[in-house]
Amino acid sequence: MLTNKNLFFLIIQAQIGIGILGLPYILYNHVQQDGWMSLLIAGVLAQGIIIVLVALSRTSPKETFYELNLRLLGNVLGKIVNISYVLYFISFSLLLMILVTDVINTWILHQTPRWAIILMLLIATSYIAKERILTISRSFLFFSFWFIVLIFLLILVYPQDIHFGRLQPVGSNSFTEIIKASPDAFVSLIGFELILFIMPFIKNPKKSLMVLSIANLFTLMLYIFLFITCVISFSGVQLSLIQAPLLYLFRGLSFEFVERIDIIFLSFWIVPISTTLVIQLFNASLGVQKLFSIQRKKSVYLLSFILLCLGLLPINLTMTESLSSIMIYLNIIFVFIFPALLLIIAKLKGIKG
Amino acid sequence: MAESHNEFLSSDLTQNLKIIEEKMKQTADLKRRKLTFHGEAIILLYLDTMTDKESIELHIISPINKQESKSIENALGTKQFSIMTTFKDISCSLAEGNTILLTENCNIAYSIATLSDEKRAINESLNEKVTMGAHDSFVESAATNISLLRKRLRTPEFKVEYQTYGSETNVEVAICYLESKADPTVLHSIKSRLEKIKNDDLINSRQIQEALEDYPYSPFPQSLRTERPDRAVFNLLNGNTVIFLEHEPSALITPISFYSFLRSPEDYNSRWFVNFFYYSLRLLAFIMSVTLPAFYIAVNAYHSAILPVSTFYTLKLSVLNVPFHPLIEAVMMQIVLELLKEASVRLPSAIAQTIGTVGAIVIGSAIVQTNFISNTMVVVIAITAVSSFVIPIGEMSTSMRLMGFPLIFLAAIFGFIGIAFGLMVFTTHLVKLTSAGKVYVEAPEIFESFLNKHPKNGKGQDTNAHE
Amino acid sequence: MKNTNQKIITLLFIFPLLTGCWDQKLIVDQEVINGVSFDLEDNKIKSTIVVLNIIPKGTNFFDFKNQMSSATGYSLEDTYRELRTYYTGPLTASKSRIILLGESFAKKNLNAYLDFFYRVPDPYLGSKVAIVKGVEASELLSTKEIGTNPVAFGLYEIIEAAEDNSTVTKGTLNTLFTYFNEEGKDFLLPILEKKGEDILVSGAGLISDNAYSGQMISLKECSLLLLIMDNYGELVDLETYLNDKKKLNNQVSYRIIKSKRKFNLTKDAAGKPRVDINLDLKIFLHQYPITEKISPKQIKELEETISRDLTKKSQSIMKKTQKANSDVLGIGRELKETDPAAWKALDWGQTYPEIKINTRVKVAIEKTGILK
Repeated sequence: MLTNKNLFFLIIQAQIGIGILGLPYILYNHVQQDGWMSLLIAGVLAQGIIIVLVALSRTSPKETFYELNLRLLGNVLGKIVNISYVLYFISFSLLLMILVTDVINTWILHQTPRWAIILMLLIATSYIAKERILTISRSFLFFSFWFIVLIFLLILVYPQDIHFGRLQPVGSNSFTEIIKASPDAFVSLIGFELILFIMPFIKNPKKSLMVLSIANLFTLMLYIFLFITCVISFSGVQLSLIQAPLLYLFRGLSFEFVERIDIIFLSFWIVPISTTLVIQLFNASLGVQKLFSIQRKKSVYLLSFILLCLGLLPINLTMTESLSSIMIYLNIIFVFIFPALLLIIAKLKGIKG
Repeated sequence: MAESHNEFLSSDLTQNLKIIEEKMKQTADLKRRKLTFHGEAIILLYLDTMTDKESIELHIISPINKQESKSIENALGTKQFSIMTTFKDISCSLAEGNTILLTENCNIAYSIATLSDEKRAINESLNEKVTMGAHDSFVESAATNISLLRKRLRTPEFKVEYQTYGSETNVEVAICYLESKADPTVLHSIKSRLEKIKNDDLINSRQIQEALEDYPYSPFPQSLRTERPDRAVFNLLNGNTVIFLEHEPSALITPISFYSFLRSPEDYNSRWFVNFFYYSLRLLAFIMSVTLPAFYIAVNAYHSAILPVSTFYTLKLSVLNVPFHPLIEAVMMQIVLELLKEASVRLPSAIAQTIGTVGAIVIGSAIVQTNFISNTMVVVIAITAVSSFVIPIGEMSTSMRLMGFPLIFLAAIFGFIGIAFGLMVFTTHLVKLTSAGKVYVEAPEIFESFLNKHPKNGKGQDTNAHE
Repeated sequence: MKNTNQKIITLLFIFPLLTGCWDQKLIVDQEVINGVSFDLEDNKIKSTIVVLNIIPKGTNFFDFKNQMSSATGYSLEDTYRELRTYYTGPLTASKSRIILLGESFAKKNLNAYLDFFYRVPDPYLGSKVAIVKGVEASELLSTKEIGTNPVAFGLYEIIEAAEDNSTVTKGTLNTLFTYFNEEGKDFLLPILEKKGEDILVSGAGLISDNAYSGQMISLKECSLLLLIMDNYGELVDLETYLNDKKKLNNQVSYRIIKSKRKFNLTKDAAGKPRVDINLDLKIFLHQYPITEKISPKQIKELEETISRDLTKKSQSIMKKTQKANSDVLGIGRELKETDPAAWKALDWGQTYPEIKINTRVKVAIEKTGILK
């Protein structure tokens, strides 16, 4: 059974991934140096959603979300919802894979074909995703070592040429604009919906809300720290140009015995990125297991195969961009609106029953 | 049915003798001595090659010849014996080195323990040397080995259980544990696994290890084989189980955690910071022996941008005239290294030194001068080898060195990203492993104290029910 | 057992698929650019690169040779295409140490020209950038070695030493990228000059609006400018004439132990920005023209002389920057951050030369060295 520690690392690994590379760029383009406020708002929003999700999963802690759907919505409607959730996870994973291969292709391996990277990624992630959730969480704990490395490297940026004044003027954007930018920040905080699917495996469900909040806080703090570091070390126009500011920060960093930290960092940052994919695969495979009643291991393989085939499709820049803008809304629907509706249904049924 | 009729001894001595000799397949080393005791004929049967003749002479023949006691039981009073009635028991007992005493007109036989106690003296451990601490090591006798443990653990809690496995070899297996410390569920699972050993030819501890391991196909050993009694005792005190196989000079410890393989008994014998330093050094050695060649290949073939300019030119200078791809270089060098190591193990120690010289001079410098393998590659492989030899347990050390190979290939295909993927899979694999149902690699405890204020509950019942 | 066999077979099928090694760049094959220079020639860019070739001479011995080649074209990529044909392996800028800009080239909008270095991940951003005055930039690269270092490394180290001695601000290609895109802040670039056979850093070139303004701060004034900018190196040495009577051996020189800058941006009556800079220096004498005891009274006088001298010098330095329209202090940036409305109303390029910058230096002697 998952202890609080296990749950914490599961959630932060599910949250932090590819999004962190481009987050400061996206936020800066919307609201300039006030991006940290949008982050805070997104964090508060995420916290609210966490409360909803936990409340929902507590209505029947012995069921996964898919089982809950079937029970509350009936067989037909429940199945449709379950299928759409599986599709959501598949498209999320697909977007993730495309973004990863794009970043790798621009920064490190320029000629390596997309399928090779995707194949490698899927072999590694399905190897992890087919394990029990406890094993997954325990290996995530080891992978969390990279967060310490990240924080350490970010601190190393500070002795470089930075200027704190770039954070000023505070609040130059209107409040509505800051709120408008928060969905973009929210995408990077996604991942806590995992709680819906792992509630039956948690040893201490009562503490889950607290653990999730701490995990969310950790992620939020890391993002804000990153955003501030980026703003103070890049000048305005520069930050609005660089698509992966986190990597560019490290590109300028060099030491006596090693140069080009960005290459090393990105290569190994693949691990936290893959963990997000592992979680998506895990969520989807639970659904496939429920829908077609096959072994979870096999459903992971099936999903990986589907993803590999999808990854082989020729996807260009505009398609990626439209997919990511659609995903922003899908995220809110699937992570927030639908669970909230379900919670209301569950409460109504609870009152009737 | 005829055979079952013959299973029990009859009163006919000559008939009995004939059947026993047949059972023993008329082996040439089966000797018989004829004596008389109060007028009755007595036959002694024993395997010449296994028994202690002096003991037979002193404790069996001379009391019988003196004819002082009334009965045979009394005459054998000084010696431990048991009474047997079937031919099967008798033949087994003979094969174990006992002496069988048959009397005329009597349908029972006495089996007297006369196994010659020819065993190696307790020497210093060859494979797990220490500079500080005890220097004794296990020998090929389970009884002696257990006595070594008992001498250190003078407590009634220390429990030994004997079982015999292998229908052909009939090897005794001793399971030792501290009743108060050992987890009963783990103990139960160990015993039930041992029950499943179906090998007729149980002869070495690897076979037991195979039966005990949850993931026999994993490259990592999930039970620890040691020659050192102090290590065994330390693990016993931690609640682990020690298994001895007769004629095998090592103890098998299970369940075991991965970190124990990085520990030497010497650690617990030194100051805390020395202990800490060497432990960290071995952790570093573990990481280096797995990743260093792969890292070098990735840098050489993909990421030379990360090198500072001076290092870059040094490296370029050393590989400038080498005709091979770094991957081929690395594989070649690894194979050469394994060959050298294997050769020096097999050869008598006097000649093994020659191998050292050949390795150092011929391979080390000549191969560089002929530009087959670059200087840096020799350095890298040498560091890898030395790091893997630092690991106190030989089994683990070899596993680690070999685990480097998949990473080498991944590094040659994808560079650092390949290494990252490889390490990810390795980590998950290690984390997945269990040793006798217990977690093999536990997370560092630092996090435990950080996040979980009540770490005590739930250990041992970590098995997840789903799926 | 069956399962394992299956796994092994799958792996055996997958691995041949993966043996692409698509991006392999073996260390042996790489031709590494050490130094680059850009000049302007008949309205065309002339790029020159230096590649260091190492020639092994038996074990542990080697010699090096610089392979230099140039090409002209209308864009950097244009010249690069030609340059590539001169070399045996793929060229990479991942180890470039130095980028030299000819004076005429430097007067162009550098941001637009150097875009190539920032857009692709290959080039090394730690390389130093300098302007070459007097001769063509490519001529500096044709020197074989500086000291015992190959030319590119030698130049890199010269500039690094100049940074440590507070001649120019610390800067690399990476920091340039930041300042190129920063509104209201200009920067300095080291100026290299050839004196006979030697190459030296002769001062700091004032950059205005991402292009070299043509004006420079001379070697002797640089350190003071860096103090005013509050961006100095490890050593800051300055000197002052004791009086105007004679020049020969009449200087007191001192090292700055501690410098404290007060930067105050206000508005004058006309609503124009006005800057007050107060510099508090703690110094330590390391040259005095007469070897004798310096009395406390003399110290007091000395402090006043030095303060007066530095204030005067700093005023003239600031005038120079205003003349060059190079806002190296980042006054515009400060204004933008503290008063965005005022910043938007101003055209900074027009305003900066006209604003009032008031500097005042106050010196306190802390130590007089080993001698009293």
